Amino acid sequence: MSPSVLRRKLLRDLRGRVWQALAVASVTFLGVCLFVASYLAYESLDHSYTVSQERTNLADMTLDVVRVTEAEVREVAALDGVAAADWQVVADLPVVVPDGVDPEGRRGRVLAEGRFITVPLGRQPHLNQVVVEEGSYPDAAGEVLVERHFADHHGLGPGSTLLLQTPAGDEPLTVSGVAVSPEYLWVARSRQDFMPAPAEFGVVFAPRETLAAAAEGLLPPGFATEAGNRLIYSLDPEAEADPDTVLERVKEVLGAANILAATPRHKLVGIELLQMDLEGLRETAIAFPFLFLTVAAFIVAEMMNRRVDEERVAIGTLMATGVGRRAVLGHYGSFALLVGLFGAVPGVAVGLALGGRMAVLYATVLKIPFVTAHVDWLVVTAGLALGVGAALAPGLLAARRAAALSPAEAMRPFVQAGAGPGPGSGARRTGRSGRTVRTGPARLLLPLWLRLAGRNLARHPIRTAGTALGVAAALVLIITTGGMLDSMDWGVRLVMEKSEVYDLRVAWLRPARAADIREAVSGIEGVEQLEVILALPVQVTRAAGGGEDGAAGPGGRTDDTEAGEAYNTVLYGLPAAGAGAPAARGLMNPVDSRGVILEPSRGQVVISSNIAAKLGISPGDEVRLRLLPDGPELTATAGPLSMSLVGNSAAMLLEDAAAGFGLEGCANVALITTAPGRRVEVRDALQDLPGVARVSDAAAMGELMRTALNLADAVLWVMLLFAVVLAAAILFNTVTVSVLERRRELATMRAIGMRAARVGWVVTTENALIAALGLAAGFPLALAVLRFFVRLFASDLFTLPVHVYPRTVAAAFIGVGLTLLIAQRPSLRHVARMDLAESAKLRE
Amino acid sequence: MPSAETLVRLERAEKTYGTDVKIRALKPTDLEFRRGELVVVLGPSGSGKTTLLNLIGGLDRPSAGRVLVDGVSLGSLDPDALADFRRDKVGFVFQFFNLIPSLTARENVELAAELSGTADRIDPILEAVGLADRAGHLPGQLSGGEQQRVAIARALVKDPPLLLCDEPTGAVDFETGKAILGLLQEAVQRRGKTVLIVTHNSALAAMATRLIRLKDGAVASDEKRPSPSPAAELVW
Ligand SMILES: Nc1ncnc2c1ncn2[C@@H]1O[C@H](COP(=O)(O)OP(=O)(O)OP(=O)(O)O)[C@@H](O)[C@H]1O
Ligand SMILES: [Mg+2]
Repeated sequence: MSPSVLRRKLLRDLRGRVWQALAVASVTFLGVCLFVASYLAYESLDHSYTVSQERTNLADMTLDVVRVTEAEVREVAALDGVAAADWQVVADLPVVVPDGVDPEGRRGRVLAEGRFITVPLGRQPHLNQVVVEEGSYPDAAGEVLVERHFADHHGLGPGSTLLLQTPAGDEPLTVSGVAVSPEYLWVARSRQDFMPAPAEFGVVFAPRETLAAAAEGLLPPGFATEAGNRLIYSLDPEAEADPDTVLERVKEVLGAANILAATPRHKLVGIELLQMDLEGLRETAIAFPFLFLTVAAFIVAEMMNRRVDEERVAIGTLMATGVGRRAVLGHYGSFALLVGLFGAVPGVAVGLALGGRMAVLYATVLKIPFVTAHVDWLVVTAGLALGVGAALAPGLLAARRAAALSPAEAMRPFVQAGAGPGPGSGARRTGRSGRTVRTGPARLLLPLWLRLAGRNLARHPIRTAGTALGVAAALVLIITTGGMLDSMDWGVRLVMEKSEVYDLRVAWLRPARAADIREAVSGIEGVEQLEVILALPVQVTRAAGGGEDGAAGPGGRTDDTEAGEAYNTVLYGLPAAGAGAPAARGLMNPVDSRGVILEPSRGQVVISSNIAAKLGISPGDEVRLRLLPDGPELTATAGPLSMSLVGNSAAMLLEDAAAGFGLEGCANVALITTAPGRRVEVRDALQDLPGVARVSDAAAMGELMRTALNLADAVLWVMLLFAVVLAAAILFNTVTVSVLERRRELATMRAIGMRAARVGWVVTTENALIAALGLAAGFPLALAVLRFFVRLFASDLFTLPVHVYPRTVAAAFIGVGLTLLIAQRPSLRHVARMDLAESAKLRE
Repeated sequence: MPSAETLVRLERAEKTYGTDVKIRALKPTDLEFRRGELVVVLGPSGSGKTTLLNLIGGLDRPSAGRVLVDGVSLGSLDPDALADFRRDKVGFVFQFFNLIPSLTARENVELAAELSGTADRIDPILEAVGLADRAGHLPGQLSGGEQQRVAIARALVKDPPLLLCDEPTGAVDFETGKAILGLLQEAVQRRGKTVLIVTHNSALAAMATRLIRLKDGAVASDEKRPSPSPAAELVW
């Protein structure tokens, strides 16, 4: 037999298994394409971010301070290891957009919160430059730059006017241009509120002179002219100084007590969020292709091993007639290689084309100023290698098994050659050692067809395990993605229905008398429920004492937001149930992940579990809270831990908070529910109340949250679809192969008088047993994987409660079952229609 | 013993294979088999012996003509009825045994017994084919001749009126062959079964009550043999 005949056999095999080959090729194609496209996009974006940060000289370290002066900045700049330093004023101030767009999309006067960040007049700062995309850099006092997101939402451009709300009245500011900054590619207000509606929150870059003149009386004395509340500096790359050592030196200059938070560049909220987002892309870029290629490898292993088993006699005969082992190896190996190439090559091509597009699209949506799409050939090569390898590796294993057959044994019917235990082998017992198969009492209890099914599973343990694994994998895929969707839904529902049940939230610039606030707000028509609370910026520390790290230092001054010693968040002072609120339940309630409302008792503080985790606080610990920037401190006992979907917070009784911080009888936030259809009117009226800094619309917020989650939902739904397709592919392949492999056996059953339906029943029972095995193993695994993923993505910014609705579990189980039923139909039809005369004549 | 009764009748039954090049595996044939006959069909390889058996056993449908068993035309049966027919009327001994590899010898027999509700016959039959001590072994652990005996036990256990055997002695030694043939002969003589044995081994002719020679898909001769010799006396 010449190799050319083998080549003809190869082609015939390919044609004969065109569907299986296509299935492998398309799964490989998807895996490679996804990998190349998303990894290239990831690299391009990562690179674009870095370039954007470097070109704008974004500072390496940002220190929020009580006060920093020009002189101190010069001192810091002269420090060893510091390349440059600067100060800024960062102040959140109420501004009115006279012709803005409110959260409902109506044009008109809109009150928003502006984050004013100072820049030099007439020239870009050395550190933290902005990229002016429209109009020009402000060169006259009274001019400002507005950040792209805010400008786009309100339709602001050069020449537009903003009105800064000051106690003295409206201060007009002229927009000279629209800019972006790498720090605010994701516009986050704080770690507690990182998805503010662009209607209500925007960044404004204001020359110091502009802010000093306009915000007089709103800022501490000297701010914006000679002092600020933020020190930024960059490290000298030449000096190679340790960032921590440099920070220590800076602290000495400023005085540790002066520093509220020190944030390295990568921990700035906006940057961290983008990085998390990017990390998500990278993980997807790896996890999904990995999944696809595993499935491809699984199918190839299954297909090839069975082919070798099936063709054992033929292989033996070929070898007996003089075909060499290498030819056999090559024959089976090249089948796998061809299938792999068939999927991987187009996968790389399409992936290359898509990767560039994805990066550009992403960059446009995120308004990244500098986009660099580059092609990393290493990624392309890796994609190709992975794709081909996924098919070739299991193919070669099977081929080796074929080549290792001894001709004499291979040609002997029934007896499995003693070749290596490659996957799918180990099937039939070797030799005739006379070991009897025990047929114990089971045979008295179970009908033969059931025993036959069970026996088949036991006789092919690797195939059974493989199929059960496939079923388990299918279930894990579906429950993990479905559970993510459920958890997301559950989390949103907790927030919307239990935790934050108000329609509008009004913040005053400064705490005022609660009675006055109540009076002013309840006078507005359409207000139904009203709850007056305190919302204060605080720094949380675990009180030293019982803890092992008593070295937290006096007052546990913050060193770094991630240092695990102190954490800045917002503290809510909430009225006791029934006391302040007319409703039995408050309008804002801390809840745990199961949706149980946690009411802080006297002297207790309820903090988010993610803060607790960061600071190592558990219920019962003493917790110290300091009012920011430099207010008094109070101590409370940690109560039960609460769940916050986005951000984090602490909550205690209003009286406790007010007493502890010397704010008796005061409040600064009103929570309101409105009569049906009156929300917008009420909001307009609230905006006009004196001293009001911000009115946030829970509906608008909810809308925004929904949009963001819908996007995540969409991704998850696509994943779910993939999961279902992959699950179906696995199940389909296994079932088809296992039926076709036993064609002769099934034909014999029919020949001795078993009806086709009965034969089908045997096969179905077998598949059902495997499914039960796979489902039983898969369910706990699925929950574990879900929990793992939720934990993986949990941070102080985002925490998801793990929750799987029973309907998801039911759907997954029924889905897998139905898929199995459908997957076996074609092969069962084949069994019903097969030519008995021909099948019975075949030799094993 | 109602020996004169017709069990199988072929009416111009024929089988052709292929579409472009027609292979006439069996030319139009008229044949009748009665109960109690032991028919040996002799013919060289490719003469249509297996084809004839498959038609009679309802494994295959004739291209033209009819096959009647017990007065019922097999062509008129739907697949399920055909399966029931095979279950109740026919015992097959295949040329290549066709045992279920994942069932033990006993279970292979049991599978057939279960189908026809004759479970009480399993052990005596296994005893009769001399496999009682290997009953718990899988086909892969048995020799070719032992596998053949399992196949015969599987056909006999159903106690069908018609036994169709394709080269039943092809894979076994002389002694085993004679034992197997003895079992078949006994089924005819004691129980009035109809047995069709197809083979190219002309030594088997001696035990037949009727001898048919096939050549190129057609009956070349068909003779009654009034005094068949016992299987134990065969020589080849
Ligand atoms: N499925 C088929 N397609 C084409 N030709 C076939 C098919 N089955 C049988 N034949 C042909 O029909 C003829 C008769 O075949 P059959 O199997 O009945 O022979 P046989 O007498 O049983 O031979 P052997 O003693 O070798 O088993 C042969 O020439 C064979 O090649
Ligand atoms: Mg034959």
